[in-house]
Amino acid sequence: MLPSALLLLALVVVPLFLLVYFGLLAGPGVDGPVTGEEWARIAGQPDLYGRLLVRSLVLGLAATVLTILVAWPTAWALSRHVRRLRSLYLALVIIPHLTSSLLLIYAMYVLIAPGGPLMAALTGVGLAEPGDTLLFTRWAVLLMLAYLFLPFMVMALYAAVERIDDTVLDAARSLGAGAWQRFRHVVLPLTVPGMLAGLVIVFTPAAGAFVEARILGGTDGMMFGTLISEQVSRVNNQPRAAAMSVILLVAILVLLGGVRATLRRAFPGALRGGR
Amino acid sequence: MKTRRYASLLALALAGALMLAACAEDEADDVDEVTDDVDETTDDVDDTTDEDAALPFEGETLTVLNWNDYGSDQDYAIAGFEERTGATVEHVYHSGGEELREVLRTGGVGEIDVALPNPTYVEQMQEEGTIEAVDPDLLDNLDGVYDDFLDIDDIYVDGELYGVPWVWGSTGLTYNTEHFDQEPTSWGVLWDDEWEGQVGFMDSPVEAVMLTALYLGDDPHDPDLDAVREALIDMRPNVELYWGSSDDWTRAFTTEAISVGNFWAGDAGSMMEEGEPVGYVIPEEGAAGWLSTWSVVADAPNVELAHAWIDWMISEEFLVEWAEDPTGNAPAPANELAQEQLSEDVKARIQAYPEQVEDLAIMGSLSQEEQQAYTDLLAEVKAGVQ
Repeated sequence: MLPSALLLLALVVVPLFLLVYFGLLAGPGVDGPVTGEEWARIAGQPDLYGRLLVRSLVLGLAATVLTILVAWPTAWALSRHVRRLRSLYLALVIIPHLTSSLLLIYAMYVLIAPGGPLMAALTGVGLAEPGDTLLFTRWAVLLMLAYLFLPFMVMALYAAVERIDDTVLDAARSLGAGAWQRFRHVVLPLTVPGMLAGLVIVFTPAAGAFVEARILGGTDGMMFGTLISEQVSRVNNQPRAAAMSVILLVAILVLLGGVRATLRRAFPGALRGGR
Repeated sequence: MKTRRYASLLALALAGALMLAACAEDEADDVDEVTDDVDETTDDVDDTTDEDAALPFEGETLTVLNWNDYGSDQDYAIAGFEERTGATVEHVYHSGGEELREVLRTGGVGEIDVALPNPTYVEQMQEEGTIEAVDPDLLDNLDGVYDDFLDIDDIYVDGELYGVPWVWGSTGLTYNTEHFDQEPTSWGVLWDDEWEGQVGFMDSPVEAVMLTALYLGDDPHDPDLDAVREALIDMRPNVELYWGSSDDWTRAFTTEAISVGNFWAGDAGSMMEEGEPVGYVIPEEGAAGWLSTWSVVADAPNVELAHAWIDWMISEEFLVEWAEDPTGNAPAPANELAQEQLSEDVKARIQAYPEQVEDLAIMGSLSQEEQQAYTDLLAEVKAGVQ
């Protein structure tokens, strides 16, 4: 008990405390006096900081929704349709993501470049003009973030789908529930905890992402995370970076709490044990 | 049973995440490792001859602090120096200006003879006492160095020379020759509606501010930042990409996502050599440039040998050999006599044109406040703040 509590203290509580404390210092570096001036600077420029914060949160949420849309059927298929080759398919979902994420970003670049495979396919079905491209738009960033974090959502939802007992579905069927009703009232609510778990592990990094946007986003490539990174790498202003990190952290927590409350209202009883 | 399966899945996901992290760290390690390496060159002095008497530094060792693979550690750089002096050359590597200063502050002084700090750092390092003044009388080859470079304030402290110009480069107007009927002559093309959505603009606060100040006819070292911000916001509809690395630029350029922008001379020259339709020009307003300078480290074990090394580095002989080495990654030489000996192909590849030198605004040292202001300014522009 004691060692684990110490570990928690050293790896979670102390760093969080330091983050808040650094944010109150005067930059550059972290040996200035406590003045809180960086907070004042941030508050004085809502058109920059607020704008980017909203952009990052919206993009993170959109990417999460996209991963749920793709990962849900994938998880269902993994659980119900490919029992024999399941480990193989699971491995196939994960393996591409064991390489450097930079490689994945450049793979996406080739895919969505003008004349690339994806754009060629979209042109083929009449959805895009030749020469159109998603590259250097916010859509490219959205697609990339969804792709990057997809395996996490697949895993979270797979675990949830796997836990659904077939007899529950049989019972619903015997009571006259059609396919849609079984999905809407039985299966979907039972996967809500998986979605929430997936939300936490996909939304949090997606909302803080900046490398993907910088390479693929063109003039829409500026994120809240970009700003944090630049304050450290370009001007050694750790206090402002720390203050912004606290803001991002709180914003993410508030948003996660809001989504959780909404889901609980939408699926009563789906989140037992939670308050 | 089910809990266990859930747990093993989580473990799998965790293992995946850990592997990802490990891979990323490996890459970082690979880069870091070279910085700690001390490259010991063998001292196989040819002792069959009786030239020993002619070699002034026989048996002595010179320690050089530089980036890895930046000219001074080429075989011919070391062999040439060892033949002339009889001394042995050792390298210590760093991976950036801050690390260079750190190495000297923490034990490098007294051990290392010469280093290559950016002129931006010269004044701070002189104050820190990690470099000392160079004696120009010991550098015969200083005569060949462009006067424009020797006139730069940043390499002097209290009138004494602390940084000896070695190689230079610029960030000029780079364009697709297939998309331009004639060579553009002004930065104004970046603001011209004709190139809407086709500009690749460097994501660097200093370069952005200096370029814009030059375009506006302002002082590139002390511009009116509000005017600069306004101009950069005006340019935004033309910008397709704020590029962060040479790779980003090259990829966007070769796929014709961008047609024009500001880009580094050396990298533009390499693209030309590969047959890409690249044009590179220093516009009439001038352009931002950089300079690498050699300094003698304070308390150097062998001051005379250090001067001999710097004199060798800026010599026509070495600079020409380096420039002509197709894999040497040489920038343009700061020695005009060396430049004159280069073939037209080499001049094009490394963009070694003396007429560009006088139009350069060499990036100087910025105060913390200026760095902060420049960084915040470009962030606002990139974020689309009006």
